Amino acid sequence: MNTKEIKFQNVMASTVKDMNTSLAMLLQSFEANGALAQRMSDEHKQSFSKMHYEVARLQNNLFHLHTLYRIEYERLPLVHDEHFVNEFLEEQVLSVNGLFVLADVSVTIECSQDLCAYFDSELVSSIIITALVNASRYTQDAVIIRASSFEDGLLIQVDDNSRGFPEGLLTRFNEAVQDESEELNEQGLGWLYCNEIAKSHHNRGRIGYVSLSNDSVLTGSRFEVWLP
Amino acid sequence: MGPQTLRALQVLIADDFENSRQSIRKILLSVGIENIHVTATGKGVLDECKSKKFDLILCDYNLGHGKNGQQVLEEVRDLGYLKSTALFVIISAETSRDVVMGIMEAGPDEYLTKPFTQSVLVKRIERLVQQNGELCEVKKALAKNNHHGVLTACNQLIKEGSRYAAWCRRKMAEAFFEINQFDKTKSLCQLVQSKRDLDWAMVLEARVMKETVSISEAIIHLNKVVAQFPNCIKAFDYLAEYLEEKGDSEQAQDFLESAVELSPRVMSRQQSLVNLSLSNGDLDIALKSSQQALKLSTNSYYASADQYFQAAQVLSESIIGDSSPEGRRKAQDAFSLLNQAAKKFPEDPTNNLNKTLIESQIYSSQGKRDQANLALKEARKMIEDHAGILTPEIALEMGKVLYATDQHEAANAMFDQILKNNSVDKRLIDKTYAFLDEPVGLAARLRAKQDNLVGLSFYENKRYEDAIEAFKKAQKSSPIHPGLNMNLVQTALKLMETTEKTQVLIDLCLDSLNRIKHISERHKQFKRYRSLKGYVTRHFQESP
Repeated sequence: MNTKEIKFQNVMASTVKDMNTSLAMLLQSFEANGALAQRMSDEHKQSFSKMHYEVARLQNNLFHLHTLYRIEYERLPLVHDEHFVNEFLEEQVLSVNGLFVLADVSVTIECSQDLCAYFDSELVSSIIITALVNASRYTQDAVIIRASSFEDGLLIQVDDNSRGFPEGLLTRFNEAVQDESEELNEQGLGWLYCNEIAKSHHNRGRIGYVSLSNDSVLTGSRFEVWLP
Repeated sequence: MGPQTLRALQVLIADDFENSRQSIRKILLSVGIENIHVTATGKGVLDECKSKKFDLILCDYNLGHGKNGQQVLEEVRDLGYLKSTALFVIISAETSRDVVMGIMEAGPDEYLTKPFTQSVLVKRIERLVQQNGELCEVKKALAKNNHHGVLTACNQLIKEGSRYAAWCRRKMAEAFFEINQFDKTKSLCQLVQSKRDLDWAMVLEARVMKETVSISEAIIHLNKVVAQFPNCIKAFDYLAEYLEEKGDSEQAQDFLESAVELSPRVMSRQQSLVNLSLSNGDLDIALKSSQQALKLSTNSYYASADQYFQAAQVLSESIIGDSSPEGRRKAQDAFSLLNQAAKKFPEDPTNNLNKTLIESQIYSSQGKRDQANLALKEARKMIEDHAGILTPEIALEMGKVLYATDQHEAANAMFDQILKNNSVDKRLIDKTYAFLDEPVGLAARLRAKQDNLVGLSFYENKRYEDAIEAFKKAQKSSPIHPGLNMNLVQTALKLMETTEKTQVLIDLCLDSLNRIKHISERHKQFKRYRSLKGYVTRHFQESP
């Protein structure tokens, strides 16, 4: 690696670290002021919620960007450990819970206590957070996260009762996944990122995938990730 | 879990930022934890842990200018400041791969990346404490290295249907290995891998193969591990270790270099690379890794005079015959390292002798003959004064100094002492030959290496005359290098197959072989040397 790349790598690492710290402080104050926001007028509450949502998106996008950079330039180390899926999902919900509380959205996790699976928790976390942040924005008032063991792998579904993904997005996503894509807009790119991360999980010749549909049990949209 | 369990916890928070310390403290207070100590530095963690046994330590990686979280963890563990059930959590906003790999290798009980929200931290702590309660018997046995205890406790948990059965099976497989029950290790590894391959289990399988089948089988298996899990640092470490044991130290170095690239912040690995590259005669890598090791020794509990001497020694060897400004600068650096070591670490006869020998070498390399001789005299006196101080390691350094001051006969006597001593470690033999093969500085070595490569590519393309010229050029930089001289012989022989046998080429062969007479039985290239020499003697040398 030449000096210029090393320099850039260092700048990248410290800038991301710095931005992360700022965003973390912002998110923490959103969380800390959640109770206060509950007492605000609907108008204020809505803009508070909107700000929270955008900051969560920013943080998530920053993580995506940095992960893609690390995959490309640093041979990002995958840390496949065994995790209790229920605990893992609970943590994901907790970390964006403010978004749901304010919008009066009920979130349920359906997963057996002892279900275990192997995956990179940090990367899969970013997938689930992407799905949750998105659901918090579009759902009416409910989100169900269901996890189960399926075809010798782990299947996680995030269902909401929104009006569903637009048909155009579903078509474009499916084409992009099959690599015959037109260009996707920013939102579509987020889903593609999730698919890439899922694909980086493999076991004995089988690889992970993400799929989007409107098959939600709540008659909204469904985000689904399968990991071998 | 009841709030009572949390309330009783003794907790230490370490973070160099007042704000972060306070915000974590507030979170803990909010869930009823009352016994909270805080500190801003690594030294603070050590002091606190020395005087008090904590249940939970939340330690940021970044602790200002002193020790970082990883170094603190290594140190409190080594010093036995932690009780067996203590939970050490490293918190970090670091995203750089080197740092993260270093932290993972130190093995904290938990690694929490910033940013996290209040509720996530609380949940994580609750789970750790709950898990710790369930696994405490195993952890106590592990801390005492009581393998049978680990097996019993794990068996019990599995029987009770514990949700940590997978973790228990891993600990059991490791414990069976430690007590040499290899069949049981193997069958457990197979059991846990029924549905997927696991890096740790595959590494363990390879270690079993080494004990029960052969080192070569183990190496093949480890190669599969690194192909499938390119970040499995342990596999690289064992590959390097096994290959070296098998005698393939060059390939061992390749894997150790990969391991260092993967996780460069572990000092002991950098030092192993210095040693291995020195015995391979690869001064360039030795120079880089000795500097890295030195850098990592800052604030490290494992710092000793060794890292300084090693770095000074490699520097001094790299500037043999190099009186350029760059060489002079390196000589200054080496002197300054020796002085720093003398200031930082207590005096000790071996260290003093080492220091004096390296000084003599540096003077020689800079053409300061009088000072070099003076230091040599001093070293001789030390050896006389302290019986038993002349270990084979010191003999090698002494030999180098004698060689540098042109006392070749005395130098060879030193080297012979090592080479003819059957109880000397293989690596020291290799290091001795590495010096004997190429008693020139780094710049000359690199030139020779370059020209040798040029020669080899000509050879590949059957341009034998050009190859000979390139090898001869390399020979000027490194006159008695075995590989190089044998390449020259081989090329000359090849050329004579197609053209006529000229006396010039025959002389070239004889001269090259004559240059590498120092190769004896324990040299890595002995076989090749013997066969080439046999061939040349049979065909071209008249019997005397």
